[in-house]
Amino acid sequence: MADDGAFVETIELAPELPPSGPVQWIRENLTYSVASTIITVVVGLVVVFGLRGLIGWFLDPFRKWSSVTANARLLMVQAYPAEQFSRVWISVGIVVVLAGLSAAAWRVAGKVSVGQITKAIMGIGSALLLIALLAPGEFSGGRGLLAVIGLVIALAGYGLKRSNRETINDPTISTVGLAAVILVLIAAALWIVKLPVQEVFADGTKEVTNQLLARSTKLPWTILIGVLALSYAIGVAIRDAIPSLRRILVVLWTLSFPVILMVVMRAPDIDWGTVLSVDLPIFLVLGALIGYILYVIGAPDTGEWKYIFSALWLAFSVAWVLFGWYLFDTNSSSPFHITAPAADVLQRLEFKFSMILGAIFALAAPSFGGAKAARIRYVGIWLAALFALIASFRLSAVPSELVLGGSAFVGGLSLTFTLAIAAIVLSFPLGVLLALGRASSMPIIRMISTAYIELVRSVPLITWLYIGSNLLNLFLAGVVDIFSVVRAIIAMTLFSAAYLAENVRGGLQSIPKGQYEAADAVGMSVVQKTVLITLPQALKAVIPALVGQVIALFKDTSLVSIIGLFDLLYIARNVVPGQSANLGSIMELTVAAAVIYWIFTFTFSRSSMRLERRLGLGTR
Amino acid sequence: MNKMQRILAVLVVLGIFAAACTADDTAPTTPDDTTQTDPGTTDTTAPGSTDPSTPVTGQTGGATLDEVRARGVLKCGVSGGAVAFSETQSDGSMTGFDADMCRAVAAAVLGDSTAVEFSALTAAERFTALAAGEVDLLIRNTTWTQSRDTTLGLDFGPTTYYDGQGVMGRASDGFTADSTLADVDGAVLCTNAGTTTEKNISEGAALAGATIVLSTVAEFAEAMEGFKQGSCDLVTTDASGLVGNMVTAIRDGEIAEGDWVVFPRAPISKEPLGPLYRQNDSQWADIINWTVYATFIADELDVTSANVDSVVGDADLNPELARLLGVSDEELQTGMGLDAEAFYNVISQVGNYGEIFDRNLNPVGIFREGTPNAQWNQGGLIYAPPAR
Repeated sequence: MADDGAFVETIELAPELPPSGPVQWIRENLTYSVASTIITVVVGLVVVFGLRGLIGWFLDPFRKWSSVTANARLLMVQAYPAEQFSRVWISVGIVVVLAGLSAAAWRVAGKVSVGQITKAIMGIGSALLLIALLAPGEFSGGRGLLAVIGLVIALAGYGLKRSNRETINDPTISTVGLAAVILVLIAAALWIVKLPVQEVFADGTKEVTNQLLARSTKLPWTILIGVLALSYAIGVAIRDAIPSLRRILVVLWTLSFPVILMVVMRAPDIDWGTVLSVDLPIFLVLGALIGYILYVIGAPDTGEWKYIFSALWLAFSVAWVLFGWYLFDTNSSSPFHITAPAADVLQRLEFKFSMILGAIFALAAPSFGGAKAARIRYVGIWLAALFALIASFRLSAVPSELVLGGSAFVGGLSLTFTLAIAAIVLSFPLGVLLALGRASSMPIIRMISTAYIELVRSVPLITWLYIGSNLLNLFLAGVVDIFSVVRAIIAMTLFSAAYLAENVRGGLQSIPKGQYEAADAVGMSVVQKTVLITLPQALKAVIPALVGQVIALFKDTSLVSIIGLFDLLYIARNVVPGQSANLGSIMELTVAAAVIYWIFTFTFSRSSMRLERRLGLGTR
Repeated sequence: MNKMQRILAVLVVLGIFAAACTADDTAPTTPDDTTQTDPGTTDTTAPGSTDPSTPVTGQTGGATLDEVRARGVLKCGVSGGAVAFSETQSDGSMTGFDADMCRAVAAAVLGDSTAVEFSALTAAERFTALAAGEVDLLIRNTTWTQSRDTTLGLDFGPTTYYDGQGVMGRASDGFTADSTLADVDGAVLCTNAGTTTEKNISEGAALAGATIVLSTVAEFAEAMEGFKQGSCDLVTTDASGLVGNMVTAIRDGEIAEGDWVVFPRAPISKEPLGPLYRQNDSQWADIINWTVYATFIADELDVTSANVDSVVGDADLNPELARLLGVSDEELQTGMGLDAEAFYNVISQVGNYGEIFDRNLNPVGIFREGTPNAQWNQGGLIYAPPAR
C-alpha cells in the first residue's frame, strides 16, 4: 500500500490496556472455567440465603433490640452508683487526655487516599442496599427507604470515585481531618439519633418510645470528644518543645491505671492518721536505710560480697514471709502471735514485702549502679518503687467509700477492661523474667522458672481463679481484705505470665548465637546483653504471639463470673434477660456482647499489625 | 544422677539456712516489734479480731444485729437476674419479690426500708458470700433442701414462695393444663444444664413411663429461644419462670392467649424458696423469721400499707395486731432487740405479704389464688405462728 519511496509516518500507539471493568473481573476471577462457574453459583446461593436468614433474624419484629440500648449503663458499669458517675467520667477523661497526647507524640497522623474513602463509602451504601433487598418478609416502606438511602450512598461514592479517577495522582487527605469529621458526626449523632426503648409498666402493659442514643450521657461524651481534640492539639504544640514527651507518657500510662482503679473508681476511705503513723515511718526509715545501702552497693568496684550479702538478704526476707507467718504470727506461744487488728497485720506485711523489694534492688544494684549520677538515679527508682508498693498495700486494704450493689465495685465492660489491662500489664514483666529465668544458666533459677511455668500452664484458668478467690483469702484470713477484683487480677496475672514466658522464650531461642557472641565480644555484662541486645530482638520477633495472648486474655476475663464477679458477658446473659421488660432477650444481648468484644479485639489486632509494619517485621 | 544429687544437696542446705533465718526472727529487734510500739495499734493482746472488716464465720449471739446497726445499712444478697424476684433495672436499682423482702427486714431492723445494700450474687457464690459475711442475709430464690440446710453452716427462714417445677408445651401439639408426664412420650424437652430441674424431669418421666429426648443448654432463656423456634417441643423449669415467659410472650404479641400451656396441675417437684442466714445467731434468725411472719399475719388480718395508720389508731384493735404493731405494752419486739414499732415500719413502708406478692408477681402473670401461696385459711400454705 505504501507509495514508492514516500516517507510514511507511523503513529506509535499507546500500549493497549487490558480490558477492565466488572464484567471482565467476573470473567477472570469467578467464571474462568466450568468448575469455577458451578462453584461460584453454589457458594453465591449459600451466601445469599445465609445472609437472608441472618438479616431476617436481626430484623425479626420480636427481637428486643431495645433491651440492649436501654441497658447500656448496666453493660458498661453494672450498678456503679449514679451519684458517683463523675468518677467514671474522670477515669475516661484521664484515658482520653493521655490518648490525645500520645497520638500527637507518636505522630500517628498519616494520609489516607480519597480512592480508599470512596471505596468505603460505596461499601457502606452497597451493604445497606443488600440488607434492604435480602431481608425476608414483606417489602415495607422502611425497607424501601433503607434501599434508597443505600443506593444514594453507593452512587455518591461511585460518583466521587469517577471524578477522582480524572485526577492523575490519587489525592490524599489527613487522617486527623478524617478522624475529626467522624468525631463531629458521632457527637452530632448523640444529640440527634433516636432509638426505640421499651418500657414496661406495673400493670404489664408496655410502651415503645423513641429516645436519644445516649440519654443521660450525651453531654459528657461530647465534652470528652472535645477534650480528645484539645489534648491532641496540645500534644502537637508541645511535642517539639519536650523531647522526652514519649517517655513521660509511657510513665503516665503506667501510673494511670492503678490510679484510676484504686483511687478514682474505688474511692478508698483512707485513714490519714494510720498513713502518717504507720506507712510514712516505714517509707522514710526503709527508704533512707535501703537507699543508702543501694548507694554503697552500686559503687563501681567489684566484690563478691555484694552478691552474697544481697542473696542472703533476699533469702531471709522470702523465708520471713513464707515461714515466719506460720512459725510466729499464728503460733500462740510466739511473742508475735497475731491477735492484733487487721491493720497491725497489714503493716507487718507491708514491711516484709518492702524488705523483699529492697533485696531485689540490692541484687540488681551492681548492674545498674556505677557513676555517682547513675547511683543517685537508682536510689530514686528505689524510692518510687517502695512508694508504689506501700501505696498499693494501703489502697487495697482500706474499705471503699462507695455503697455498691454487688460483690465488686466495678462490673460490666469496666470490669472486663480492669481485669484485662491489669493482668496484661502485670504479667508482662513477670513473664519476661520467667522466660529469662528458664533460659538462664543458673540451675536453681532455671528449675524454679520451669516448675512455675509447667505447673501454672497445666492447670485451667478456672481452677486458678477458684484458688485465687478462695485460697488466697484463706491464707490471709482476716489479715488483708483483698477485694475480689484484686484476687481475680492476681490469678489471671500468674496464669498469663506462664504463657507469656513461653512466648518470650520462643523469641529468645530465635536469636542467632552470633548476637550473644558479639555482645560478649564487646565486653557487655549479662544484664547489658539481655536488656540491650537479646530481649529487644526477642520481643520484636514474638509480637504476633503476644498480641494473640492479649486478645485471648481479654476474652478470658469472661470466666470471672464463676467467682461471683459480674463481667460484661454475665450481665448480658444473666442479669438483663432477668428483667421482666426484657425477658427472653438473651440472644440479642449475647450478640451485642459479641460485637463489643469484636470491636476491641479487632482494634488490638489492627494496632499490632501497624506496630509490626513500623518495626519492619517480616520484611527483613 | 550426680548433678541431680548436687542440686538436691544445695536445696537441702538452703532449706536449713531458711529455717535458721526464720529462727533469727524471734530476736526482739525485729521490725515486727518496732511496729507494735505505734500507739494507735497497741491492742495486740486483745483476744479475737476487733476489726469489723474481717468477719468470722459462724458468729454467735447477736453479732449480726449489732453489725448491721453499727453499719446503718443491711447487706442483702439477691440474684439480680431473676424475673419478678430480683431484677436489676437499667438504672441499677433492684426490684422484685426477694428485693422487697430485704427491704422489709431493713425496715424492721433499721426503721428505713431504703437502708439496703443489694449484692447481686451468682448461684455458685451465694452460699460462700453469706458464710463469709459479705452479706447479712440471702434472699436469692433459693430452694430449701435438707443438704443445704444441714451442711452449709446456714439456716433457712420461713418459706416465702412455694414454687414447683412444671412443663410448658404448645396447645397445638395437643397439650392441655390437664396433661401429665405420661403424655410427653417421645417429645424433645429442653432445659438448662446442671440444675436439679434436669434431674427431676428425667426421674419423673421415667416413673411415668415416658421416653423423652432431653436437650440441655447453658441458660434457661436459650431453652425458651429453642422452644419459640420449634426445636424444642417442651421446656421445663420452675412454674413461676414458665408462666413469666408465657405472659411476656403474650404481652409482646408473639403468641396468643392459650397457645402455650403449663402442666401438670401438681408440680413435678417441691421448690420452697425462702431467706437464709448464718447459723448459730438465734437473735438474727428470730428477727428474719418474725419479719416474714409479720407480713403473713398482716396479710391474714387485712392490714396493708394503706390502712395500717388507721388500724393503729383504732381503739378496739385486735390484741394480736396491737402486740405486733407495737401499740400494746405486751409487744414482743424489744425482746429480740428490735424497736417496738419495727413491724409497723415493715407494713407501712413495704406492705404485707399479699401486697409484696401482688406488686411483683401479678405483672408476670402469677397469682395467689388456688396455689400454696394463698393464706392457710384459703387453702394455701402461708401460715404464721400466732404473735403472742
